[in-house]
Formats: sequence, structure tokens, C-alpha cells
Amino acid sequence: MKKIVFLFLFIISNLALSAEAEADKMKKSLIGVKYFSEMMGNVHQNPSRYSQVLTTISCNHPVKVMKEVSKDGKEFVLFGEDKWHLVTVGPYVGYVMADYLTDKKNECFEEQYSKFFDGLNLDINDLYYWARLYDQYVQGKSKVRQ
Amino acid sequence: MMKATFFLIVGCLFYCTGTLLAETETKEPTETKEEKKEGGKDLLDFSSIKDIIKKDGLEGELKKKQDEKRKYLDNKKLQEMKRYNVPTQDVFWSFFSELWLVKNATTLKWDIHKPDFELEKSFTAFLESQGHFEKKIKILLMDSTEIAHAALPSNQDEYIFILSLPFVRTLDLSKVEISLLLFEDFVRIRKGYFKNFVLDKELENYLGSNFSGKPFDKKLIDAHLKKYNQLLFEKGFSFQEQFETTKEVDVLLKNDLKMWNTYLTMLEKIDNLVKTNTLYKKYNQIYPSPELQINWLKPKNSVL
Repeated sequence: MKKIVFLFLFIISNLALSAEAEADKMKKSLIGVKYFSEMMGNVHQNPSRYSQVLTTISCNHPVKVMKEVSKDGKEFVLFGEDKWHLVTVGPYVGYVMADYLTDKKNECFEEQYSKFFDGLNLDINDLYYWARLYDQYVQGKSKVRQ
Repeated sequence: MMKATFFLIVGCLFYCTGTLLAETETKEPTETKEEKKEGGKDLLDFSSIKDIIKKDGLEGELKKKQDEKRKYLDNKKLQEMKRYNVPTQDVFWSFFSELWLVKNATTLKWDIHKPDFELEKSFTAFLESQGHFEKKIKILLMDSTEIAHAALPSNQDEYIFILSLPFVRTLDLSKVEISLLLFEDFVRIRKGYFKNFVLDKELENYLGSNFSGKPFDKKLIDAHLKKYNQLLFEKGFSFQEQFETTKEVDVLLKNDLKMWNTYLTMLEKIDNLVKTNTLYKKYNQIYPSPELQINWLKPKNSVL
């Protein structure tokens, strides 16, 4: 009988803990829609250029930018050394470098010169590397003259 | 007598009836003619109101609609034509250099895990100290010794650098030294030697053109991609080009003697490496040569 009571208590406590953990999870909410600005790019599982790739997107692909709100009301918009946005792309929820997202649609090379781009006959391997290229670049811009 | 009177009356009656009938017969065709006339009048009236119809603006409306349709079709045709545009030089070079990087990804081995040296920060700070503002830089570290370092042709105010990680590690280059190495490439690419080597008359004419109704000239693109390989793997830069580059870096760094000395020390390190390490034996062929560069930099001993 004692064993049954202990087992019952154990299950109850576990359920209570998991419910608490669920409540501790950050709440995600939509900030707005942004557009991918580079030729090709990856949506990563974590805010790191080396983390697993969930999906690949091309220039002007719209992404839903999300923010996370903690239990104490703190808002998180940028992640991983403030370089990444949490985004929803189709069924995927992942991270895209903030520098590669713009508020307005961009003038994309492959849209402007669509037949030229098609003529290059880039295969899936090329497009994969093109997206990886934008993961691997370290980029910067010198300041405006003061 | 009675008979005669009877016949006279009957005769009169016949005469009167005949006269009456004759009158009605002659009257009937006159009426039909009038009716026909009326019908004719209808047709004539239509042609006479043509001008009035013209004035109601329907013909103008039709012309307007036709013009709109023509404009729409012309615009559609133009948009379709535009899709066959070949990029102009303004937007071509960054794309083309990236295409070369993509096509040579396995040779150059740039898709690797690498430490974050924050080179972009140190190099942009260096560029600012040299008075180069609003320059966008992209640095790609490679796990290959095939190319030690280079700047690739790119669009205006945009610079793409490739840098060998083994080269940096073997020489144990500091951030300042890396910045100086990249700065040398920056000066070299600004002088346009690379672009001039790749860009021949054929490519120059092709860029900015339209190939609607013609097949896409992939051979031309492939041939020019090979020119990148030719320059960076085999031919390299000429002595004259290297001399001009070194001299310009010399002038630009002269106002900061510490930096100038660091540049000289870095060249000595590279000179030593290429003379001792077989992995970098091709370096002198591509950038002739660190030894000469040192000689060009060092002040001449004046004989008194």
C-alpha cells in the first residue's frame, strides 16, 4: 500500500514540475514581417552560424520576426551576441542573422536579372554553398566620416 | 323604251363603278410609293445622324481603350524583355566573385568551423584610421593554402577578402598584421589590376546588354570564371603591379611609423615563410615577391 502511495506522490510531483517548467518557458509573439536581403541564406536551429540548418531561403523571402517575453516581462528581440533574430518561416521556427533582414523588399539580383541567373544553371549544391557563404562571411562596414 | 332606260341606268352604274374602281387602283400604288419613300427616308436619316453619333465620344473612347491596350502590351513586352537583361558592371562584380567562391568551395575549403577573431572590427577600425569610410567588407577565412590572401573584384564601396587560416596561423599574425595584409589587398584591388585582367572587350560588351531572342552565353561566363583561377592559382600579379601596390602602401603608412614597421616586419615573416615552407612556394609567383617588396620599402643607402 505504501508503495502505491509513494508512486502516486512521485507521479503527482513530476506532473507539477513539468507544468511549472512549461509555465517558465518564454512566450513568443510577433514583431513584424521582414525580408531576407542576400542572395541565399539559412534559417538555423540556434543563434549560431554553425548550428543545424532548418531551411534555406532566398532573397526577398518574407519572414515573421518574433520576440520572446520572459515570465518577468523582459523582452528579447536579438539573440546570440545580438546578431540573430528569432523567425518563423513556414513550418520552421529558427534564427536568421539580423544584418540580413530588412523592413522593406530589396532589389534582388536574381529577380532583376532572372533569365541571366537561370542561364547559369546553378544546381542544388551551388545554392547550398551560396547560403553557406553568407553564414561564413564575417562582415563589417567602416563608419561614416565624422 | 323602258328597256332602253333600264340599259342606260345599268350602263351609268357600270360607268360609275368603273370610274370609282379605276380611282382606287390608281390611288393604291401612290400610297406604296409614299411608304417606300418613308423607308428611304429612314436610311437617309441614319447617315445624317452619323456626325451626331461621332460627337457622343464613343469613337474617342474606343481609341483610348485601344491605346491603353497597346500600352499595356508594349509594357508587358518591355518587362519580358527586361528579364533578359545582362547585369551592368555596377552590380556584376560582387555576384561574379561570389559565384567563383561557390564554384570553388571544395578547393578553397571555406565551409568550415573557425574561431571568431573579430577581424571585421579590427579591419574596419584600421580602414577608418586610414580615412576610408563607409566601406563594406566581407572576409572569408579558408582552410586552404592554395591561396594565401586576396581581395576579389566587387561592386563599388564593397570589398570581398579571402584569407587562408593556415597561412595566418603558421605566421602567427596579429590582428594588426592581418589588417595590414588585407589593406595591401585593398590597395591592390582598388588599383583595378584584377578587374582589368578578367574584363576583356567581349565581357565588357556583354555586360549591360540584353540577350532576348538569343541563347544565354554560358561559355563566356565560364571562361571568365576560369580567369579568376588563372590569376589566383597560376599567373599572379606582375612585378610592376606589385611595385605600384607596395609603393602606395608605403606612402599611406609612412605617417604612422609604428604601423609602417609592422608592415615591414610582416613582409619579412612572409619572405621567410615562402623561402622555407614548400606549401607556400607558389606565393612568390602570385605576389612577386616579399623580398623585393622589402627592398622597395627600405630606404636606399645614400653614399656620401
